[in-house]
Amino acid sequence: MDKNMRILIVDDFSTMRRIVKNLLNDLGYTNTTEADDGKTAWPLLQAGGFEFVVTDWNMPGMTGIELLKAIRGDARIAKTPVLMVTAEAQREQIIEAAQAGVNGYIIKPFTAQTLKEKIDKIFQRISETA
Amino acid sequence: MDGPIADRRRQTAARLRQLLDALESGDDAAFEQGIDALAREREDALFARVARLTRELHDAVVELRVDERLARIAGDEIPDARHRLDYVMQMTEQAAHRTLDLVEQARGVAVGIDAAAAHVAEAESVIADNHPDIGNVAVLLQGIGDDLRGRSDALRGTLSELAQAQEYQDISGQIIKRVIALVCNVETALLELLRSAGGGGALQTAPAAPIQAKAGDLAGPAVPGAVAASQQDADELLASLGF
Repeated sequence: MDKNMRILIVDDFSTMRRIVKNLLNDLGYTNTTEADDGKTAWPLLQAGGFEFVVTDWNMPGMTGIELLKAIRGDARIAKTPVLMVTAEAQREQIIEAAQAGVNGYIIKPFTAQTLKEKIDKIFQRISETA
Repeated sequence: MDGPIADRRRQTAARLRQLLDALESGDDAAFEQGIDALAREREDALFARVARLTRELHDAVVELRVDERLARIAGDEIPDARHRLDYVMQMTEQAAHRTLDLVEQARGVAVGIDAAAAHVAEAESVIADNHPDIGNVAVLLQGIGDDLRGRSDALRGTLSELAQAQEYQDISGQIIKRVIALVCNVETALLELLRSAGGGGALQTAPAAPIQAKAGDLAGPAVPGAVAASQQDADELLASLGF
């Protein structure tokens, strides 16, 4: 797994972006960019070069699920792995995210260990299917 | 003409006839009794009317007060609560950033301790030399000691600031408590209004339970008592869906 891959962190709370960024740094991923909702994230993703997206669900403007669907709907970036990190903990939501093609789902509040496990799993799967 | 007024007229006419009979037949006792009963009936009717008026007045006053209270709540207290909650948001955000800043400072201290450890290794390698330059080792060790003392001071300072940064909990807790009290007042006033508008006799405060999100709405962070998936539930659910 390329520790230098470009990661986009999308969350409307700056503190949460910072926490995710710090945790990713601890795991060795230092090449991160932040966006405060789907709307801000979308042009960044369109510009290309991101290999992984960590996004919240509930955000103003454009939500994480909308962002996920938009990514899957755009052939150029459709394969970008997306990890949802959200406080939404209803079964229906988890199923909706799965159906929209999410690669991992973390419920807030979460631990560094959970983040590590999910990222490892996502990239393990990708390398298996590649 | 029927109805209570006609009834009363018929009753009064009957009593007056009885009274006249008693008077003409010289039955003084029956006459006195009849007069007393007539007077009492008039009094009872008057009291009933006064009681009804009193109740109506009371209801009107109560309703007026509820209206007044609701007007005050909607006009002043709710905007005030919104303002206070905005402040809580700001304060908690600031505190979280301050905490993260301090954590980064503390990380810096850890990097410095690593550097000091490298200096210790350097001193060790000097000592391991066949002809150790003890004077140099002493200088190195003193440098390391000074460096570590400086760093532990810095760390102590950071830790005490970290503790201080948690004071938002006290203030935000107090503000949130006030807002909870306001929500209680709104609930009581609304229940009273419903009751005084009639039909709400059996209304009472509902037990605290999370309100189900409407279709299309997000449920938001789970609170104790709400039906929500844990990380393990989510993992199992996703696994069952082939993830």
